[in-house]
Amino acid sequence: MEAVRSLAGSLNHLVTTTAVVWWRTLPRLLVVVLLGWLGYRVFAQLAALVVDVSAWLSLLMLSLGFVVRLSTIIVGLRITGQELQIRQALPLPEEDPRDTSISHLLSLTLLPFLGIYAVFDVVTDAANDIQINYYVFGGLTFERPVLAQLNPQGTVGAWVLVGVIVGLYVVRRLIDRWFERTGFRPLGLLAALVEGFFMLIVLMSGRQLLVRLGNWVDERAFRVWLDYPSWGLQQLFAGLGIDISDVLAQLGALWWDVIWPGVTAMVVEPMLWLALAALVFGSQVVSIADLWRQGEPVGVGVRRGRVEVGDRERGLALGVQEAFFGDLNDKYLPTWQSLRLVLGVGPAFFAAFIVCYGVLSTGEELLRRGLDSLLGGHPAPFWAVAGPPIDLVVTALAEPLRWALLATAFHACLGHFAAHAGAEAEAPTTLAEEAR
Amino acid sequence: MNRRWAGGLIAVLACLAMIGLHTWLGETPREHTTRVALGKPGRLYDSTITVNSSTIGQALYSDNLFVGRSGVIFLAVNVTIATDGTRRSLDWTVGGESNGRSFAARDPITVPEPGFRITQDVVFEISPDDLAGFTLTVLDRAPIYAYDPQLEIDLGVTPDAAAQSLEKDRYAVVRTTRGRVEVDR
Amino acid sequence: MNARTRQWMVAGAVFLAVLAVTVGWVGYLHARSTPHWQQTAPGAWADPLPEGGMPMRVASLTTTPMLITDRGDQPAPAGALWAIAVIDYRPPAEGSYCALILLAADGRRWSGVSPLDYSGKRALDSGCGSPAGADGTARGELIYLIPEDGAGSLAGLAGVVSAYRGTAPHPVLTPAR
Repeated sequence: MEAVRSLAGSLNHLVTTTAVVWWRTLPRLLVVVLLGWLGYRVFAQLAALVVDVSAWLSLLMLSLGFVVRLSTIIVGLRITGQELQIRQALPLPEEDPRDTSISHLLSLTLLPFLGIYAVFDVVTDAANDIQINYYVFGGLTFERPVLAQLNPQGTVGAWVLVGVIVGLYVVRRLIDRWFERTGFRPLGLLAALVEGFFMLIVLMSGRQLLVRLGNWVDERAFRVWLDYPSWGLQQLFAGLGIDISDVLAQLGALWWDVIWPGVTAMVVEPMLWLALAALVFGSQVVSIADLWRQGEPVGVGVRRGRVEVGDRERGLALGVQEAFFGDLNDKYLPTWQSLRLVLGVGPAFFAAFIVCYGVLSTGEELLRRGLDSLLGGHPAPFWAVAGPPIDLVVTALAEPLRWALLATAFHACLGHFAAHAGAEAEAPTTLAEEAR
Repeated sequence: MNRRWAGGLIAVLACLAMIGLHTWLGETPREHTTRVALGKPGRLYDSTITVNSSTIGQALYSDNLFVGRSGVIFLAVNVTIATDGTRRSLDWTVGGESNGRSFAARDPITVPEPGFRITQDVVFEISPDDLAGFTLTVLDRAPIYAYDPQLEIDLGVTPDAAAQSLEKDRYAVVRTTRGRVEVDR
Repeated sequence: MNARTRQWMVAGAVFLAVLAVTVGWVGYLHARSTPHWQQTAPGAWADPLPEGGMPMRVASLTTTPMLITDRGDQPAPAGALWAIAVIDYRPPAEGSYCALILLAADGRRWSGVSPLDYSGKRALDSGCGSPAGADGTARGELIYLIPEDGAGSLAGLAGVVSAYRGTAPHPVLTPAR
């Protein structure tokens, strides 16, 4: 069976190359992962300590922690990518800003990174951890306030939230402008930090907003109309003697409790990480074939500040459009394109990558549980002490492997496209020759 | 055409395999469960618990005062708790599990002070079908928790024994006691 | 020494540094959440609560197998003794209460017996709810039930606030003798 052989080949290639890359880059990756772990922990602990001062400050610390985490991932991916010489295999222009500036990469990847983390509840878990660390550090009493400020109730809180979000967006745009004008490096980093804070608040409050919207809809009279179809179905099936609501409830439980979490954790998550890796390595592509056409990538969108048109009004209009939709060109589209790139390689590679990533993440979780079980059950203050060293060991073991796997998978994607483009390049020429 | 179908099938199978792996892994456990045999002491931090016996019935008397009559049955588990460590825990939760359902005890359990032990009855109100395979669970969990120890003690009631016991004692009177503290020697 | 060995040494050094910072921090957290004790001079005044309560002293700590109330004597269970601590305290104007544990030298701690657990009234009031007398102090008593083998190693009374986090030692009120 050719498909099975193709799968086995992909698996073999992924596993062996990942192992080789991992071993060769291990000391450098360890340094990166250890320092990144410590940096995130420091900010997460600071977030818990400053909650008494201000909930916003606490969120700022948390966003700084996530920026540190993302920087760690970027540096780790670049190290493994260098080992595989991915950069040489990509037809990007010699002076792509991705090569020189971490802050440029940061601003490019911050949204998809935080988006991935938001989808997989890492952000809300981190916010809950703030509360837990706060109580572990300060002791649980009824006098300490609960973190209500992070979930603003009532209209005043909501307006404050909107004000903060709009304000941050404006501040970030201003810093971007300033950065372009002066090219002062740390400004790029500052823009990334402000953006991280902005994203975090949008994601956390967005969730709240959706919940409140759902509650609002439930209270409306028209909500009852949405129940009519299910009543109708029930009447229909009652005639047949089947309790349709029970069947639907069981199906729903199977879907929401088993299938959907499995799909998101084992299929969607690895593909999103691979797309993020593609962004880090540099793949501003519009279409797959374009990647190899003329060796020049087809850029997406207009470069900022270079709109030169006739009358002033049109210039102004385009400038305003740029200010608000520049993000679309810089972030959202490349993420989407990277996803398309990655999905377009082929089912055997897709299956092999899914299996490798799944085994890796399962192994990491089993190791964590094994170490916890070894220590046995203990109260929370014990885990506040024993938890961090365990997390350090597990992270130092699993993260470098993950980076090596992502780099190897992306390299395999590129190899696949090179082979394909080679075959396609021959076909048109032969056709052209035949036409002659 | 065949190749594409085969490729797609491989991809779907791989996805299903990984989803199965994820389901097998399940949620992160929040308790570290230790099985304890009937009659043997099980330890949670500074205290030990030993399950002595269990009785069933329909009318409940606690320390010779009438408490109530059940529509199903009462299950009274007699346990001895002794504290030989340095402090008593106030965070014990005693429950029961049977047929995938979990039950809460009617009254909270008393954990004695260091150096003392107490023999008391833990009462559950359960349906007769849940008697076979009933397992007592004792969990020490504080308001803020991460990974706590839990003891599971199977009462060892086989389906036959359950049927016999129900035949004999279904409508009997259950006499329980809250226990008196005595020194643990 | 080639580049690879150098890389490994750097990685090792970073690992040790991160481990040291982590161990230091969690050690500090542990020290904050675990109380450690310091005994006062016998009969001395001290504030048993780390976040501020009121000054107290233990006037006497006696053990007896019989608890004498106005409804007769109540014996302790076999092998156990009643430990009666008489405390002086300076209550603030707004009123006060106390919940002290009896601490033994080996670390065992017992909570007080509530007046509901024995029938009858005793001479002194239980706990620290009385208003101040003429000299600003009041006297009360706390009763504990301890096993016989603990009677010889009693250290004193201490206040435990489970929500307290700090590295300062908790004072143990030593009985006057």
